[in-house]
Order: sequence, then structure tokens, then C-alpha cells
Amino acid sequence: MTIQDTELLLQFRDPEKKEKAFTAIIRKYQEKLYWHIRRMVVEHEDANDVLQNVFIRVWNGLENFREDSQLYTWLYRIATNECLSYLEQQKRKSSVSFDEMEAGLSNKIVADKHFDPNKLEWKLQLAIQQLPEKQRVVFTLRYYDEMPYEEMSRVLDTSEGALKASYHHAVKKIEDYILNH
Amino acid sequence: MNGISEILEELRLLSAPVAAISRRTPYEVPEGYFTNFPGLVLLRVAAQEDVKSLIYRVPEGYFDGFAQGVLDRIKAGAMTPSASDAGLAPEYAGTPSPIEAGAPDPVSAILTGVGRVTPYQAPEGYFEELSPLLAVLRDQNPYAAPVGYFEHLPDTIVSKTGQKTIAPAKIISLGSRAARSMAWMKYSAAAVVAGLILTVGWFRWHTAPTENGTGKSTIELAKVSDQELQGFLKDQDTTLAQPLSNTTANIDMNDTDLKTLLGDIPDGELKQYMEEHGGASDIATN
Repeated sequence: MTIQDTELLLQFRDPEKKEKAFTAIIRKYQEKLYWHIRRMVVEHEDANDVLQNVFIRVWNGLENFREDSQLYTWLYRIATNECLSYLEQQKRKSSVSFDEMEAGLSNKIVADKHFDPNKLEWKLQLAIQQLPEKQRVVFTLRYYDEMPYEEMSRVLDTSEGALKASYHHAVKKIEDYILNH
Repeated sequence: MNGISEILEELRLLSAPVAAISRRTPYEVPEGYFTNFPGLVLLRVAAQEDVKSLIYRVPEGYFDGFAQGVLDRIKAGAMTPSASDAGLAPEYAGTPSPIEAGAPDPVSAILTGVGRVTPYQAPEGYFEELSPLLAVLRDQNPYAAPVGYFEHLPDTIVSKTGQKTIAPAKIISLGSRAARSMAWMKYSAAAVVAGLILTVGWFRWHTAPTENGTGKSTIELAKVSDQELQGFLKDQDTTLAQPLSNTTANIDMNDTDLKTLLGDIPDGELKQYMEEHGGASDIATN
């Protein structure tokens, strides 16, 4: 754990400094977590809801946080679980299948006012939405968040070997999509 | 993050086209969103804390010493009420409650003031007389029906149901279905046995002579002519040709034996027999 995170956690346990420390933690990690969530749920409103829920969970659980793992890893873990729960919830609400859900997310990308089908970064977003959930998480954590497999295995509770395999599969599928669309 | 170059190298090896794509996420975020976001979260946290404060709370560490506190009070006789607390009889006056005595633990202050003696009292001898009283009352029905109520009740019911006559109730055998089928089986078995006895008896009655040969030979002999029979008898053994004597066996008896046999018979009866069957000289009297 970084010295700064350790200091923030100490302050959080002090009732007088609790809110200030919590605000500092939010400011430090909000953007990283926001983009991680946004790439998963696509729309800003959804990402905002999920991100707020993540930090509420952090507030409720931070006092019991064991410092044997990094705060950053713990936050990503909460954010990923919250994302997957949110998507599952949306799926149940609209009674749609996984394929229909993917199509729905792709439609949201296309509906974005800044969407440009000729730009590769937009095409990449569409390609990511074609991936199965697990591969999508692994690819975004590795590709955008540059997360080492070791840390990713702590976030996702999966072996490094399985994560490497997932990432390789995801890259190949994305390449295939980019070249064929 | 460490190992960025490593990650890029890995990606290039896996897919050059993908590695060439800009890693900038194309989505836009509303202006000032990240500036205001901590405030939004803190507002929600505050709302959550307000909701929590509305829920009943137990003072910190309340349950830690609860059991020991109760035991201490029991040992100290804390359950004895004070007259001022419970408003009880004057005999309890002067026994201060733990609260009055300055007991530090305010736990179950209300229960502490309540005594174990019930303040209500029953009349003297009530419990002794309770049982005989009930025994008498058991036969005393306090309710009464109007005069002639039961006499008119059937007619009233019939008129209400609109039926002039009550159809006799259908009589249903008390025996179960299984029992009824068992009775039928018994009757059937008895009929079969009776039929067998009659059939066997009829055959025995009509076919017995034929079976022992007598009847059969009589029938066969009827077909034979008299001449054939005479010829047959002549050809047979002389003993068979002689007429058959009486079937009674010849017994050698002297006078002494005869007297012994007839000794018990009165003379009157012997005379009467002789008169009926032959000469008196042949019979020796007693």
C-alpha cells in the first residue's frame, strides 16, 4: 500500500478527519473508477449511479478494510462487482438475454452524440461490447488501466494464467471485429 | 502503473492492429462532474447516516455487561419493590428501590420497581369453596326454552324448508363395503357346498345298487330266458343247485342250555308265545 493511502486510512478512522479523508480518497480514485465503469455500462448516467454506489460501499466498509491488500485493488474489486451487478440487474429488469443486452449496449454507443463510425476508438468500443463479460473486464483492466496480471488476479479472484488466456482471446476477437467491420 | 511498456509489447505481439488504436476512451463527461462528485457522494452518505439515526440504537457496549448487571441486581435483591414506586401496601414502605438507592445501572428501571407479590387479593376461603360451588352449578342450567318450543320445533322447521312431509331417511348398512362383499362370498360358498351335497346325494341314491352289482345283475338276468337259466343251474355244482335253507346258523343246544337261556323269561310270557307259535309240549317251562 502506498504511504499516501495508509495515511488516508488512518485519517478516515479518526472521526474528526473522516470526511476529509474520504473526500481525498474520492478525488484520488474517482476518475479511474469512473472510466472503468463507463467502459462497462457505456452511458454516463449509469456510470454515475454505479460510481456513487461504489463510494457508498467504500464509506461503509473502509473501517473494516484489511490493509494486507492495496486500497486501489480493493476499490477496483468493488467497482467491478458493482458494475456486473448493475448489468445483471438491468438484464433482469428488461428480461433480455445476454446477446440482446450486448446489442443494447452497442446501440447506446451508436446513439452517443459524439459517435463517429470512422474513428477506430469508437469501433474499438463496439468491439469490446461484443466480448463476453469476463473477457470485457479483463481486456479493459489490462488495455486501459494497464493493470498487471498479479493485481488483476486479486481484483477478479482468478489465476494469472486464466487471465492471460482471457486477455489473448479478447484481443483476437477485437482484432477480428476491427478488421471485418 | 508499472510495466506499461510490457503491456504494450504484449499487445503488439498479439495484435498489431489493436495496438495501433488510440487508448483514449471516446466518451465525454459533463463539465465539472469530477469536481462536484465528492460532494454528491457525501450528501448521500449524510442521508444514509440520517436514516440510520432514525433506527433504534443500543448504547455502545450495552450487551457486553448486560448479563453481569442482571446477576448483580438479583444478588443485591433488586427485585424488592418500594412502596413509592409501585404504590403497594404499606408493609413494603421503607424498602428503597435500586433507583432510589442510587443504583448506577438504569437498565430495566420499570421492572425493578415492580414487586413479585401480586397486589390483588381473593376473598377468604374462595379457593376452598370454588370446587363444591362448581359441582352444584353444573346441574343448574340458567337458560330456559319457551313453553312448547320443542313440540312445535319440527313443524316450524318443515314449514321453513317448504316440505309437507319428511321423506324417510335412507337406511345405509353400517357394514363397510368390504364387509358386505365378504357376506356375499360366504353366502356363495354355502350355496356351492349345499349344491355339491345335493348332487352327490342324488347320485348315491340312484346309482348305489348298480354300483355294487346287484341291480346290474338283476337287469342282466331279466334278459335271460327261463330255459337258459335252468340249463345253467343243472351245469353248476349241486350245492348251488339245492334250494337255499334259512340263513340262520345251526347251533347245537341241549336241554340244559335251553333252560339257562329261558330261565329269566316269566312263564306267562312263554305260554303266550307257545299259544301264538306252536305246541306247548315243545317248550320246557321254568
